[in-house]
Amino acid sequence: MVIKIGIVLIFLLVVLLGLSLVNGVGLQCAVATDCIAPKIPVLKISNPAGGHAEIPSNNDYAHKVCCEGSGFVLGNSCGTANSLTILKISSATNAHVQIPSFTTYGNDMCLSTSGSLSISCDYKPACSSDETCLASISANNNAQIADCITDHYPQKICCKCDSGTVSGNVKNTDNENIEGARIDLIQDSIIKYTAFTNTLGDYQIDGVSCGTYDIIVSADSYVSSAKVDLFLPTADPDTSNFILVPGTTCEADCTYAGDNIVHKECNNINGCTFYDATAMEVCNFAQPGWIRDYNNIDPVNCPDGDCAIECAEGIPERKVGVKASITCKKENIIKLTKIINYKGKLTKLIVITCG
Amino acid sequence: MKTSQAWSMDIMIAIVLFIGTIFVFYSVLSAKQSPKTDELQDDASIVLESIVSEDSDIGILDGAEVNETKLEELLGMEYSEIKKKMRVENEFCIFLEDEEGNVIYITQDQPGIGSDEISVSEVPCG
Repeated sequence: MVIKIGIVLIFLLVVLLGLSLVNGVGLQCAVATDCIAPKIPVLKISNPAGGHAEIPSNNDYAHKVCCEGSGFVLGNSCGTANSLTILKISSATNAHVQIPSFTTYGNDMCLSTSGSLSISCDYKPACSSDETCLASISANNNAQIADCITDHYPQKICCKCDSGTVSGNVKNTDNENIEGARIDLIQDSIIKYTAFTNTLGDYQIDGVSCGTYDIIVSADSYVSSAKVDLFLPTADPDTSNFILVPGTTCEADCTYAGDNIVHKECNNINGCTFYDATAMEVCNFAQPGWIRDYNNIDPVNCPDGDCAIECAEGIPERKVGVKASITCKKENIIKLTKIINYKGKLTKLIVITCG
Repeated sequence: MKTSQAWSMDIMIAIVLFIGTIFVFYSVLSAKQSPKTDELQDDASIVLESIVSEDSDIGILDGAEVNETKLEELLGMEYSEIKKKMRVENEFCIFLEDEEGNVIYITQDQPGIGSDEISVSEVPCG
C-alpha cells in the first residue's frame, strides 16, 4: 500500500515537473494524428516509431509533428523574415530527411513566428529542458524520422523560443500617455530587463530571452502595476499594455503610502475595500476614521438612507441624535466652547466645570 | 414754604437710604457669589487650554483637528490623574457636540471625559 502511494506521488511529481518544463519552453511540439489549433503541423511522418516524411499539405501520412507557441502565434511558412528551416525533405511524400546545413533536398519544413520573435533549433542526442523535441532522425542526412517518445533514432531535433521584443504602452486612468514610466521584467526575483516609456507612453525591450517573467510598471505619482507569471515575449497587447492609477502605492486603509488621504482609486488594491460605490464616493479624499454621511438606501445596514459611515472600511450606521443637556449635582455650571475638527467634521469641543 | 422744604429733605434722606440699602445688598450678594463663578471660569479655561494646546502632555489636538491617538491616551487616563495634571479644583467634563447639538459619543458608552458628577444627556460624563 505504501509503495503504491509512493509510486502515485512520484508520478504526480513527474507530471508536475513535466508541466513546469513545458510551460517554461514557450514552444511545444509533439507527434499526433491531429493538430488542434493553435497547434500547426510542421511535417508529417509515416510511422511514429520510424519511417518517411511528407510535407504538411499532403495527406498520405496520418502522423503529424504539431507545434504551438505559448504567447505567440506560430506558423509553418518558409521564406518570411521570421521563419526558420527545421528540416529538408527529399520529396513531397515518402521522403527522407536532412538537417538544414545540407542542401540537396528541395523541400523546406519551417517554423515561423509573428513579430520579432526568433526560434532556434539544434540537432543532438538529447534536448535540454528549455527545448522541445520535434522528432528524432536516424542521421543528419538521408535519414528516416520518428517521434521523440519511442526514441527510435539517436539524433533529436531540438527547438526553442530564443528571444524577441516586448513592447507596449503605459497610460493613466484618463487615457493620457505616461512618459518616463519604468518597466522591469523580473525573472526569479531578479530584474532582467528595464525600459522607460517615451513621450507617447510607449516602451520597447529587444532581445528578451523567452521565458516566464513578472512585469512591474512604476511611475512617479502613480500606483505601481504588476502582471505576473507571463510568458515573454508575447504579441498580446493585454499583457504588455498598462494603465496606472494616480498616486503612489495603495495601502490597506485605502490611502496612498505617501499620504493619509483615502482614495477611491485604491478600491480592491492591496486589501483596500470600500463598503460599496456610495461609500467609495463619500470617503474619497477623507482620512481614515473620518465619518461621512451615507445617504443611500441599503436594505441591510441603512434601510432609511440616512446614515453615516466611517471611512474607508466601515459599514453604514444609522444616525442617532441625542441632544446634549448638562446636569450637575452642584449649583453652578460654566460652559466653554471651541470649534474643532473631529473625524473630518466641524465639531464643538465643550468644557463644563461645575461647583 | 417751610412744609415744602421739610418734605424735600425727607425725600432726599429716603432716596439716600434706599440707594445705600441697594448698594449694601448688592455688595453682600456679590461678595458671596463672584469668587465661585470666577473660579469655575478659570478652571474651565485651564481645562480647555490643556486639551487644545499642542504643547500640553494631555492635549488632544493637532492644529484644529482631534488626534485620535492622543484622544485615546487621554481616555486611558484616570479622571483624578487628569485633574491633577490640570491643577483644577472643580469638577469638569469634556465632550463633543455635532453641528446640530447632538452628543458625539467618544466611546460607545462614554459621552465625554470627566467627572461622574456631571451628566451629559443624563449619562455620567466619564
